[in-house]
Amino acid sequence: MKKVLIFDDDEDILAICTYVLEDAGWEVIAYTDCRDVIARTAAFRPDVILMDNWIPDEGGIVATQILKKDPVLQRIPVIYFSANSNIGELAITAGADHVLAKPFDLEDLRLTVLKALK
Amino acid sequence: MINIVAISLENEMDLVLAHKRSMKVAERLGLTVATQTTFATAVSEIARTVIEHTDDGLLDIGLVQNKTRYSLMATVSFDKEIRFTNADAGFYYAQKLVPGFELTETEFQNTIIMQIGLPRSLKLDPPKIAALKKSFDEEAPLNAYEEIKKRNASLNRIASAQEEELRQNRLIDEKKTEFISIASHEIKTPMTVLKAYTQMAKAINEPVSDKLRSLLDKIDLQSNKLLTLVQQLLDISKIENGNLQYNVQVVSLNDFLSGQVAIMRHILPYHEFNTVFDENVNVLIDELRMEQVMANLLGNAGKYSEKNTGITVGTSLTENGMIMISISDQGRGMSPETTASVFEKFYRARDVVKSHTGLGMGLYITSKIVTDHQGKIWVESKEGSGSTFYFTLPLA
Repeated sequence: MKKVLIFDDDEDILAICTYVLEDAGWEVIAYTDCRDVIARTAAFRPDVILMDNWIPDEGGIVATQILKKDPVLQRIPVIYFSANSNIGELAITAGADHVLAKPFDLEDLRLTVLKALK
Repeated sequence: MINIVAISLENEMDLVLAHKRSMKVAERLGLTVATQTTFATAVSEIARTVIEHTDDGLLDIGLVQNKTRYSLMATVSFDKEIRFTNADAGFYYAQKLVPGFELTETEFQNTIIMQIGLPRSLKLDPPKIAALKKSFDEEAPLNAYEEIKKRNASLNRIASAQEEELRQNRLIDEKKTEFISIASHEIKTPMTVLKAYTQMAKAINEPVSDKLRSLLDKIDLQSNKLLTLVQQLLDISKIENGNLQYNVQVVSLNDFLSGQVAIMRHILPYHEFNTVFDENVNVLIDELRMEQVMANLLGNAGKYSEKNTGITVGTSLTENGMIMISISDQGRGMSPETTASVFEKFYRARDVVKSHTGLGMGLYITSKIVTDHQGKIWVESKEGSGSTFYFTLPLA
């Protein structure tokens, strides 16, 4: 079973993503902050990570940059996830591999995760 | 110091002013002619020495209170790079003339302070000093040069006040833009949730009545409309600030337009869509932005025409090497006044304000996107029989 790790501070967004992705047959763990990003990621070993931009404590950019500096965890694709209109620039700064702009269709969410898993 | 007169020291003519004004202040205070001359000579000697080195010196003449006595004081400040020694004749003589002479050097500027103590018999007090200051402020200029100098100073004051106002306006503008950007982000987040829950409800694996399903469809449709509005507000604020950005790529035009028409067939199922394409060409466009243009023009075509009428999308190569895209409807058309103003920001035709909702942002943004792609946009319309919007794009 493929595993998805989600970082987003909005409980509803987490509930929706968990619902959709579990419905698609994936295992999901979600956090409302991005503390201990390395430890949490290393413990769960996800196949893909969804990272929100505005998230406590350091924000998605810093958290993604930390992940992308880790020699092992850097291989896990990160989908950058934001309602900011300049999501593309943010994703590049963070070093993320894919973007998913909020608001998204549930189908977009599923397809973006599928694409990242390939 | 209570300032009475200030003179900027730029050239020889300011020397004359400095001398005359020093005399005048000393005279009004009731000092003897000998003291007036001594003071004025010391001031002019220093002023001359400063003018020889720089044109941005400043002379201030005023009064300073030391315990119960007042002194007449002149300060001359100038660039900190300029250093005087007793080899400078003016600097040397001035020291001999006035009882109080002091040179201070700070990291910003150097200042020479000259003072002459005033006899108690003058009986100076704050009201008398204020009156003296006022009389100098209101005094007619000594000569044409001083008049021009005064006018210049007042023009400079106005100019810097206006500059400050501009700066404030820019600041307010930046704040407004930041606010719109944060506000639309904050609106988009709950919209994401609302849209997703609606889609989840629609997709639920339990029997749902047709009535409930149609209500969910309506919620979905309205939340999409709200999102479009939020996006448009954000776009307008970006256009105002000149940072609408484009990611252009080569796109096959006919495929792109066919795709847009196919999407619109779902959104406007009661309209009849036709396409009349010229030979296919490649264009260099930001696909997402151009989708916005087509959604706006096709959406308007549907909005302002009756069900079961036709909407035609056509292309044709022009003589000057552009491709022209047209969107025609058989709707209500527009008056010549509306035709002339329809691309203006927030413009809404008077006859549709009550019958059709909208904020007048769509065509403004559309025209901006087209012109940013080096294209042109225009409209031909006849009231009662329909409108055709045209826009051109350069070939890739």
